[in-house]
Amino acid sequence: MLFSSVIFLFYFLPLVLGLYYILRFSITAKNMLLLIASLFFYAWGEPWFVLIMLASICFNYIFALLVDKFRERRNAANITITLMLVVNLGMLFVFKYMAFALRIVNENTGFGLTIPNIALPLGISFFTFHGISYVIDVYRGHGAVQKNLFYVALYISFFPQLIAGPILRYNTIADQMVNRKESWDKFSLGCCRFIVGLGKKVLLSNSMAIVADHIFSMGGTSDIPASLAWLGAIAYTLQIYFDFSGYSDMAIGLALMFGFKFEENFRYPYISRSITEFWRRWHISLGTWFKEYVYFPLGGSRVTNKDKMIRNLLIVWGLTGVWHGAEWTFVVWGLINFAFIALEKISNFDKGTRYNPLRHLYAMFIVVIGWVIFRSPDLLQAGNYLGNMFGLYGNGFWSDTTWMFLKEYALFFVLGILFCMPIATRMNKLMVDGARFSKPLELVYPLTIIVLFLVCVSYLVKGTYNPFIYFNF
Amino acid sequence: MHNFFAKKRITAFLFILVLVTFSVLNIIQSFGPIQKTLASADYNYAEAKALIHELDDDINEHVFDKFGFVEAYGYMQSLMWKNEENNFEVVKDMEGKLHYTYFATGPTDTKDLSDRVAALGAHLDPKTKLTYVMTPDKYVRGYTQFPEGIPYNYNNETADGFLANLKQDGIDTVDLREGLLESGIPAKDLFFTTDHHWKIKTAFWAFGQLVNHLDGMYDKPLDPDHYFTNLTNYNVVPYQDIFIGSQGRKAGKYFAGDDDFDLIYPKFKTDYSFYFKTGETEATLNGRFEDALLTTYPLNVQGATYDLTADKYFTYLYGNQGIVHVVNKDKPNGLKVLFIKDSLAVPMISFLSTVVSEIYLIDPRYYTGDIMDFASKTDLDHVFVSISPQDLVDEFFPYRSKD
Repeated sequence: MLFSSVIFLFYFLPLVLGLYYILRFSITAKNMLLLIASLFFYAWGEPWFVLIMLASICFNYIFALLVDKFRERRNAANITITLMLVVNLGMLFVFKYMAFALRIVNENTGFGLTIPNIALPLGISFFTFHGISYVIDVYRGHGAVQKNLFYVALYISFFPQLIAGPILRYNTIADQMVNRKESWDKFSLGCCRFIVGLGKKVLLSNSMAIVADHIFSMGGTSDIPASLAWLGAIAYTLQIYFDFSGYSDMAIGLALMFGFKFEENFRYPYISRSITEFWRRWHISLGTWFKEYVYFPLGGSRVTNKDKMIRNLLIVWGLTGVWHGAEWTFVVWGLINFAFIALEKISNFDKGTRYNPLRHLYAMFIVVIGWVIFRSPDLLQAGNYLGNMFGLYGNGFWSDTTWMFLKEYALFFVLGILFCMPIATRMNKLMVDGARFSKPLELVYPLTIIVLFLVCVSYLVKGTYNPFIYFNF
Repeated sequence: MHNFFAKKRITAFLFILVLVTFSVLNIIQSFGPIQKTLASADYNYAEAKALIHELDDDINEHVFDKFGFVEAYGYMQSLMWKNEENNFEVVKDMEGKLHYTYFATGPTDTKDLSDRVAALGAHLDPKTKLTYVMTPDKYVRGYTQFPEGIPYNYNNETADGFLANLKQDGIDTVDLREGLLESGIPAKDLFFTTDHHWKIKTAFWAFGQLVNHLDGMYDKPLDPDHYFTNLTNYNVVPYQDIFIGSQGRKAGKYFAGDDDFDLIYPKFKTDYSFYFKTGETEATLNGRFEDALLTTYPLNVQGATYDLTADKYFTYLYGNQGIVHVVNKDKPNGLKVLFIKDSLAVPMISFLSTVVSEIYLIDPRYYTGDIMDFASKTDLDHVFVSISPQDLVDEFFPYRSKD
């Protein structure tokens, strides 16, 4: 089930919200409802794969009990952690990477191994990371072991974050599962956040997806002029941001409606002035996860030898790339991020505070090039597309198609670029600070948000293009 | 800070109000279809995904005031001066007519399809003649213009290649795209604005062209006095602003506008038998042209503007049926013909029925028998294949040589 669907908005959500607030008298009853609702939410799209998620919940529950039990016996605890990683990552490997690995083996050895056609369970990368996070947090003593399987199941399967994150660390949510308090203010914030996220996804991301998908389908195999290639790259840059951040907004908003507080996942990454800063603002929960569970355990940046820091960065960014998908494009994209972050760290580039538009241009240039590689189905097509962007194949600069896409999607490009910047945050601040226009803006706000919701509904009911970018993650 | 929460609270209140109201209305609207799906479901775990899909479809198809939302969507598209909507589902040409199109770099290779038509010809009784009737594409060459950059699907060029292949194989062809702009019908009135079909007057003109072509092929002309092909011998009943065609239903009338519809039927006396069968549904009607071959239900239906049953184009021959048999009782010794056709040909065939003895129609999408066997085993003088340029795809040519 998708948040941006009629069944979620007008069947699932009102029903779950209604029952949740009816059961307000008991936290256990509310949690049970959320667990049942979450399993139903997952099973609606993947009736078979819900068993895989349940298996993941069960074995991570057992591993955490074992780790807790072996706390004083270091070797046993280490063996348990290793086993936990083997099982979790093994499962991820089988479903997500095995076909890719066999393909590499075949290409390099000529063995001709049969490549199985295994469907990717929705959200497997997310619930696997949740499971790992839980067991390691218990191991580190960052949260008490959960004796009740039910709470582990709720943590891993909680529907707002189940399919596309944000990735929650167990220690940030353990207490909330038993001690949260709902309030009308939290609920109100959640509603607004959810609608804004829905608008980002349905209106901005999906519209940009039309432009990006058409141009990328032309650009990888045939010749397109530079302007069209750039337009496609920019459209995808906007699509992926509004898709991801819109989904995170919806997840954070939904969680708030149920009294949970999730951490922010995006902080206007496209205003960054370095790649390091970009990654502090983009998909923060993923960055934090890798920092907490990979980078710091390797020694992080506080190592005596800079070579080791570079090695640590290389490992983290190699893994970040592969986490996003089983294709060389993701590896290369991860390595490009690594290269620029490493360079910035070595040269202290990121420490500069003076505003310089060139720094912003540099960061966005690398980000856009990175997204082109990320979006392309393989490296050959990524190369073709990049070649088209820089006019390497002599396809000229301008075309009617560029003009057509610009004209047809002008409003979405303008709004997309504007809302990449913290305009909404500033307007909110303006209202709170009681400036001259605060009163009229305050009146307009509820109307604007409700109209935005109805506009989104009209797009959904119409059945407009609604691609799901998370299938491969 | 108080103000900050006040506006959020009001918004949340409104949101809940909209959510609950719309949810209740939706549940009422889709309750019947959901109940029906659940009652007929195969409760087997292996079928779970299929059942979920069906329920999803029920819910999406039966949204409360669905076309109100489609209209709102279309209105927003028109406010943005857009010429395409919903990922190029339909596009507008320079005069506002809607088109189906897609991004293409050149015509599609249709050699396999033309070979199938040739195989059909080879399979027919030697006395039975075969003609391919190419109906025009809504993108009329020399007239239609797309706004800068709107993709063109090369349907006409694909049709050119297809006809060239047929001619190479020695198959008789009629290209109704030729002479279209000299037909006397204003170019803007050749096709509906909101539908992919030609207007009924254009279909009538095409009937005349077809009769002219056939008159050269048989000893006895079909319409020697040009009586049946003369529009003045027909009633033309205009219906103003009544029709929202298949393309209009996708985008809504605020984006697309609406169409007039002309109902054309003979003034002269006629006597027909009309039989159709689609799936398990079959029926026979007898009487005058307007009683047997026309249904006025789509013209009279109230309050279902967007419903498929209100599609005015299906006034003729009850739309697309698996197989149809029309007998003109006033012409017992005329030609017996078979049309393997798509929807565009339907009104043209209705008018052709005035000058022939019997017409069979087969729609390859809905006919479950073997078309080649039917064509070879039925006593026929002429077989027509009439598939429009946009339908030159496998689905419409489900027959091939058994070799």
